[in-house]
Amino acid sequence: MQTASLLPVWLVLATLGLTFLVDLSGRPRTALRVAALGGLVALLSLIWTPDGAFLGLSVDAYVRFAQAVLLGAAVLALLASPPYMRHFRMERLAGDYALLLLFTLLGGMLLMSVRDWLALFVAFELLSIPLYAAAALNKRSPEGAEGALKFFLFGSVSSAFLLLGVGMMTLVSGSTAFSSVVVREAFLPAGLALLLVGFGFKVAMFPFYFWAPDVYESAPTPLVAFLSVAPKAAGILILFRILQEVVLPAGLSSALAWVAFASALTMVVGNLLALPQTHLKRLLAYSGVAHIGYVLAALAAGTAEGAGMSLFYFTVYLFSNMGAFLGVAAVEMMGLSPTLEGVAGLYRRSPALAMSFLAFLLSLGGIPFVLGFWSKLFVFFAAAQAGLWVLVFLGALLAVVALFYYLNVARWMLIVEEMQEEPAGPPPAAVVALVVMAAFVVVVGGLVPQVLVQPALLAAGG
Amino acid sequence: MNPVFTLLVVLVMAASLGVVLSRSVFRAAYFLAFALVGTGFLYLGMSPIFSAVQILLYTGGVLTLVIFAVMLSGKPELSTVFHRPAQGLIAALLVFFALLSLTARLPEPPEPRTIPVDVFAAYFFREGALAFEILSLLLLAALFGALAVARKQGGEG
Amino acid sequence: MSFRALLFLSAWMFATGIFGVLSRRHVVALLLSIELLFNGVNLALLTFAWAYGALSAASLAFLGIAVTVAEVAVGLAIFLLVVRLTGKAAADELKQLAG
Repeated sequence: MQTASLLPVWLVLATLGLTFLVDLSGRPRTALRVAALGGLVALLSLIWTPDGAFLGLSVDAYVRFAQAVLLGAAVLALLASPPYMRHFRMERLAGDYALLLLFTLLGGMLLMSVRDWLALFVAFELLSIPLYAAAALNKRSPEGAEGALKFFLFGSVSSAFLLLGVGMMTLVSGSTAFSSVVVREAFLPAGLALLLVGFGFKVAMFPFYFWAPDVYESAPTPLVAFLSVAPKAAGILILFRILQEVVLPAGLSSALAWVAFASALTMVVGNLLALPQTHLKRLLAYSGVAHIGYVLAALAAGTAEGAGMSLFYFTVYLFSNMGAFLGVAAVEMMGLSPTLEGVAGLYRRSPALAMSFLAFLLSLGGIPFVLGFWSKLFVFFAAAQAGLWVLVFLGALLAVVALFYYLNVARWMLIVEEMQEEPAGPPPAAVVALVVMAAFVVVVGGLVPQVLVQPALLAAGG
Repeated sequence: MNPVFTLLVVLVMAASLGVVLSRSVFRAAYFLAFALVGTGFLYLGMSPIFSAVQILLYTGGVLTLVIFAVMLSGKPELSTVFHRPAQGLIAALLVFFALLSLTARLPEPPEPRTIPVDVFAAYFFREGALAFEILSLLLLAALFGALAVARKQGGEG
Repeated sequence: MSFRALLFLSAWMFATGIFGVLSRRHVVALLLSIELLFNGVNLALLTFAWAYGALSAASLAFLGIAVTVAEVAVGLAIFLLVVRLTGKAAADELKQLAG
């Protein structure tokens, strides 16, 4: 039963078809719910999915773990979307939105399990292209359309680089399979550099991060929540695979030094640019850049432990970052602006939301003993094992800097008096429920991190 | 070197410049058509099937779309063409010389041969079957995406 | 037909595309420049395939053409939406794109 290893992929495909039919019958919001339910079923099916290879797609524990992160992000985003779309009167497009999100999800899941360069390129495009369209779906917002255009332009340029890079990698190997690589002069470093540019855009790595804040600010927030986790996780985790199976066996160990360099710059720039932000979505965008810098430190270690730690990192990031973005969505639905002034006195209006937000901010900031503390600790542990002490030191220093802007948000929410006089509406119950659930995971997970760390390490074979 | 080949290369180079330098986007689109068709002719000696794909599908498809878009938007040109051209020029030169230095290091190929269609097809549908399947999903997704973006939303202002 | 001349042309197209992407103001001109980028890459891939007999590169060029068309379709739809909502076609006049 080799096909069984692709069970989640089949389920997402089936959900796609079903969502399309429901949407066609004129019930876009039901389509959104069908999509969320299908994603949930696919997520559960991972428990019974065996290892195996089929149609050139191979699935092992690492792939399943990564797919779980992607599915989790998609399900959270889809669950939070119906109230958001009702509030911003985008309901007629809810079906299209669900379909585009599912296509992207499928692209990410396939990207995790491909073993050849041709499929890697196409799967990466399947991950990217539907997102450009989805970012443009709020058609009452000129800013949304402009942000989508920017997203599209930068994404397309990066695809051209990726195409060239993948082309060079196929030549290096002389065939399309990952494993048959023989170094051939200039193409391996050049191809890898181009791949880093291509993926660098998608994961918002320095110096290709500048599209992120604008796109995040203007796109529908539940989509941004997905966007800030899934494509980044997919990009970094596939880079890990390429590094471990192609680049390092081919003897290009200087690649790790490049990644370490990119990691340091990404950390520094992300954190420093996040400091002066007052718009929450922009702040989270830059903080997302900084977090990519931290994960790149594990990537630079180039070890199985590093891979396991980054799987764990993205699981934690899934809850804390998506939770924060969904919290922003709830704030927007209360009629408040998602800025520091807008959320002033949020505790008075909705204690549950404000306290959950505090948990996410503490987790993103890496305060002991929330979940984010462990993920940051283990990532730097992996880097330290590989002797990257400079990165560890820099990361620790910047984590302190990061506390300033994370705690500043918390200060505005909890301590500063409210400024907006007009009465805000109540936060939408469904979204608050999701946010509180995510906060629960972040806090309780922080007490028993080994529940997540052990499977992540096992999955990476460390 | 074959003079027809040299002429074709020079013409395509000029057409590429025309794409980025001409004021009207209509004219830029025609230059692009010229560059794409010229590349298509160059493909004739390498792989005739690619030549056909390039000229019939790619050039035709892409340019019809572009010209439609320009006509629908009703804005073929702007008062100023460039935005910070000096930076663009520096970046372009850097990329150009990086690519040239890379090609300079390549070994001389054994003996270039036209790629036979049947060999390519056999290879593509064996090694590229999965990519082809994913491509079909991608095209479907792009169709959905373009339609969803183009569709009018209820009560749009 | 010369291997080096074809790669020179490919690098030229790619570089002009880069110039266009960074410097043109009209959004459609940006799209055309992106096409130029992709065409340069495809030419390089096919030249490699022809010169070294690497069918993988030719397959990738084939896929690249299809992917580009998909990208252009979505991009133009977004462009038309932007024009409909803002009435602007210049990349640097759009508030979001200025930075």
